[in-house]
Amino acid sequence: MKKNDNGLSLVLLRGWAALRQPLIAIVFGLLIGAIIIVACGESPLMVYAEMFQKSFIKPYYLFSTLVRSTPVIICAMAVGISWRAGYINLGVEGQMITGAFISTVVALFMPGPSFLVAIVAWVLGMAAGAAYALIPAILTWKFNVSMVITTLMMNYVASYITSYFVTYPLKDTAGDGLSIQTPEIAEALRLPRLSSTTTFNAGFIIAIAVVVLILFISRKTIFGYESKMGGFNPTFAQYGGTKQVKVMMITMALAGAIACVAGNAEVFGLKYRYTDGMLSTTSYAWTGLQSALIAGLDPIGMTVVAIFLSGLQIGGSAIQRSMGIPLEIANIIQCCITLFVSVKITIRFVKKSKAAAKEGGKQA
Amino acid sequence: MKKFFALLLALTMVLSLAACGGKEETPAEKPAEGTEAPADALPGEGMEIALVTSKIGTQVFLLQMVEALNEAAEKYGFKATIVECADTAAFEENIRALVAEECDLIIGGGWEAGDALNKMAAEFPDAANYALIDSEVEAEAVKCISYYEQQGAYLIGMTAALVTDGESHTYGAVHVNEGAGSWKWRYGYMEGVKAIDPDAKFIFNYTASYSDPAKAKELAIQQNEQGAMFVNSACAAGDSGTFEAALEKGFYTSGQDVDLTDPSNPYIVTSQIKDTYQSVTMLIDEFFSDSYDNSNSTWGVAEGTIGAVHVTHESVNPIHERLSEEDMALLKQAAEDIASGKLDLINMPTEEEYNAG
Repeated sequence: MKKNDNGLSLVLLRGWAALRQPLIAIVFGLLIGAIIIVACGESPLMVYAEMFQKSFIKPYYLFSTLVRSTPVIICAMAVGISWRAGYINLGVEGQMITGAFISTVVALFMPGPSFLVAIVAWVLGMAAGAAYALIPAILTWKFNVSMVITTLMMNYVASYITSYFVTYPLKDTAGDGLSIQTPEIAEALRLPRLSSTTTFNAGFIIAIAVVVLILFISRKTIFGYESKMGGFNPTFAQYGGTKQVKVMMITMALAGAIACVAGNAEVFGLKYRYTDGMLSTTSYAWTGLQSALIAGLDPIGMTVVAIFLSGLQIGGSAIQRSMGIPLEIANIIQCCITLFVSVKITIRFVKKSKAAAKEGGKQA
Repeated sequence: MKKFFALLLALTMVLSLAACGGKEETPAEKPAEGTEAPADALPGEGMEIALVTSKIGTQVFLLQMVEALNEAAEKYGFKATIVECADTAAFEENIRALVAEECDLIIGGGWEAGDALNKMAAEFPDAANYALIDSEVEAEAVKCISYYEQQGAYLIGMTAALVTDGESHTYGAVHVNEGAGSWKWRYGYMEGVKAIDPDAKFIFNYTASYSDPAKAKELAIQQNEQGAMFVNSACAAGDSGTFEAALEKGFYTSGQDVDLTDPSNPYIVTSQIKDTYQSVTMLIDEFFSDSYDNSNSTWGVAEGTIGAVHVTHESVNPIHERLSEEDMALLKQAAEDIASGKLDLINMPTEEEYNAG
């Protein structure tokens, strides 16, 4: 690194390095989307203008985008913290459901001053999320079970168990009782709204706080360093004296607790109740995973990408309302972006393995 | 890298230019079409009515609403907007945005829209008109239209027992949701069967999805294996799976929402009618009349929105051979009794009360 590099250009350069690949992928994604819009018989320019105006530019829609992005950002952080430590945690959805459900139950049934109830609800929920994330960690540690499979499958377990509770014992019987949901939580427990016309609420502030926390943990703490080393090279980390089991447990518990915050932001900030499928049909965890992959696990990049992907969904609904364009267009663009990012990863992998093969050939 | 970017930029420009060229013709056309219409200014000119539903796909229940809305749009001249919501959060986002975009009437199609409509109507009661089809919520600003589905299900149950004709006392049914979501149908069906066959036993299974024919087929076959000669299919787009199973295994079945009897599948005896087409048409007609208000309505056999094929609604397909003229007379009499209130299917117990009693 040259000494005459001033701070600003360094920041810009680093920012560019972090955002270059996502940006290229986004441009290509939009291009493919344009082709499909042409095939639908509409003008891509008009559609994109409408779409971006009604997702990022007009204040009302910008706030909607930020509301939608809140759980996605937090989920991305939960994914990021486990993936960067080398643990492929696909169970953020299940951890989020478990945590948010426990928080809702506490908020509904615990008596006492609302301040205390709120704290207990959030703490117990996060503990539940962490405990749920620890189950696959323990299975991996004791029985060497693949974490990819256990975390993925436990999403369904959490989803169906909560589904039972919401359908039977905890169901709200107000109205005609067709909706599968719990009663509403008390008003004092809800996160305050920060805007009078939209649902923009304190959940977004919490999301930003989580991002700052993750940045702090990964850059400034010993645990952050150890978990990153474990992700880069487990053998080296072990040689360097890290206790890998401890790091794995803390990492997974942290991911589970953060996942619960994502669900709670939705329950306490937006819905005010737990509705069956509210956290799984919305694919918050998977959109979070996508943003984590697109941004290469960089917390700032993940936040930006999460907001962008949520904006695509808000804009996708907007063009459906005003122009009659199917919602799937937005999904196509989103998937193309992810696809182009994974193409990049594959090319790098192929290059690496080719280089390795060459070296191997020389040695032999 | 630079070359690559230059190429990329060039490509973007070319594409957007091409897009601009294409577009200039379309906006010129559209107003031209529009100017022809308001020769004798329609009442809905400049208004917008939106229908908010879950993913429509092949669900006739929702497709009928779309058809009715589009036809009404032609009649009254308003702008019809169909909004499909892919997930639970999208309902509130879309309805909120529709309120902000000053939509005049927001119709929720199905119970999935209920909670979001309820919230919006409580928050902005005067910003728009709200209506909800096939569910009931608390907010006063929402006009809720519900149905006495149990009345139609009763007729289906009677038909099932008449078709089975005592050859079996086990009756099957495939529904979507457990609990309150299907209770009105199950209650009506059971009462209808028991009116003919007091010894009846019932098997109920659930697909948990509005569009899962494979699961519906599997469940129907299992019910048939357990002795059911008649399997009532009430699982939306999954019905086709039950029908396929009926054709393969040779048991009798009935469909849901519209006339699904089919000359190529003689095992579909009848179909429970829930006429959402007529409901939306009636709702919009009322909206453009002077008497529109927010009061809730419940429609049943008497209003013609609920019924059963061959009994209350004619069909192009012939009546099944296992239904004699006496049977039909019995069914028609029951329908008349339901419509007149002689056979009370309006007040019914909840599932808890029924099981306790």
